[in-house]
Amino acid sequence: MRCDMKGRTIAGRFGATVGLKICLVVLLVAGSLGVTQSPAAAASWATHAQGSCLPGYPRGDTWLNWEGYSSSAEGVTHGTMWYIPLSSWTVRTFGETRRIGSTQNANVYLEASFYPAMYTITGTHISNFFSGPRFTEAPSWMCN
Amino acid sequence: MLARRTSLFVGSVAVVIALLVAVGSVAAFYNRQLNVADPETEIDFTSVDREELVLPVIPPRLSLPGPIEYSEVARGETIDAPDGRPVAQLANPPASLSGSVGVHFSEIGEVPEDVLAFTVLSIVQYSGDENVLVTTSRQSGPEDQPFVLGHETVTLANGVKAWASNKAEAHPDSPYEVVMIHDDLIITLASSLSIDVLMELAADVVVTSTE
Repeated sequence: MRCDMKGRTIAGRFGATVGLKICLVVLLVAGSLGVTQSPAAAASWATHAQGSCLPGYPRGDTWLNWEGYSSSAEGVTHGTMWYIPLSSWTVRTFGETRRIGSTQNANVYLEASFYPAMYTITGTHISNFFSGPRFTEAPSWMCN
Repeated sequence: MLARRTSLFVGSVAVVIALLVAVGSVAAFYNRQLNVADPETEIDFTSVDREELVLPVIPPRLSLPGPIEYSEVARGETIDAPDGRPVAQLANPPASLSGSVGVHFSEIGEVPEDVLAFTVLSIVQYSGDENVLVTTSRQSGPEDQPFVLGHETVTLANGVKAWASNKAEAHPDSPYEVVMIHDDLIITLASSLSIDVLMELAADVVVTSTE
């Protein structure tokens, strides 16, 4: 596509200016479409851990989510809920989730019955699109 | 007479054996091999069945959450616990930590034997422009559960292996952490000071104990 002004008519500068603007808009739209359809769109992943004592018992989750990878992308999250009644961080419960797909969320949801203490959740995350395990830890929270 | 001597001998042998077993048990407990994995260890999970996959667990920061009460200690004084428990501390706190020194001895409760747990024994706080916490902990529970103690394996200036982490998400006020093992103890240094500074301090840690 060319956007030169060689073909402008007697309509004068006004018409030429409008033609140039239309041409620029067409180019911008075409450019946008090109970016949107690019097969090289950036893939991304993220990890997180969180928890709270709402609504009255400890619960939370830790996850590894990703998007834009191949359909064989695979990830695993191992989540552990800890509590510390006195001075010992102790495993309260744990779980594991394994997911395969181009866009997925390997999420481990954990909950336990009420017991007054500080709590937190940690996560171990592995995948075939990054090397080595990655780790997460939620800010601790109180249940009382 | 012979029967009495024999009985005395057998009794003495039994007492000695019982003592040896007791001492051996205590020694075995305190010298247990920690099942610590390096965080960089690759796990070929795609070829492993879901049931057989064992991922290393990472414990929370080994300290006590929430406000902690410290007993002030004279600067330069070696810190010993009244009950002889181990206390990790800096041998020569640097000038940048010229403020007060405080120690906290945790109240230790019962921990189920079949559950992975990390007991915080003592915390020493060094104050200055920034604070540094030096925590001594001990792991208990199943020995077949691997765990990691940080996000990255590092080596201290004295050649000791350690693990460094940035835990800004969980501990925004003191995100940096260096952890190392001393016998069966886990020693954690946590601060807003950089990993490099914490590694220098970690190489200066000594442990007092009369256990």
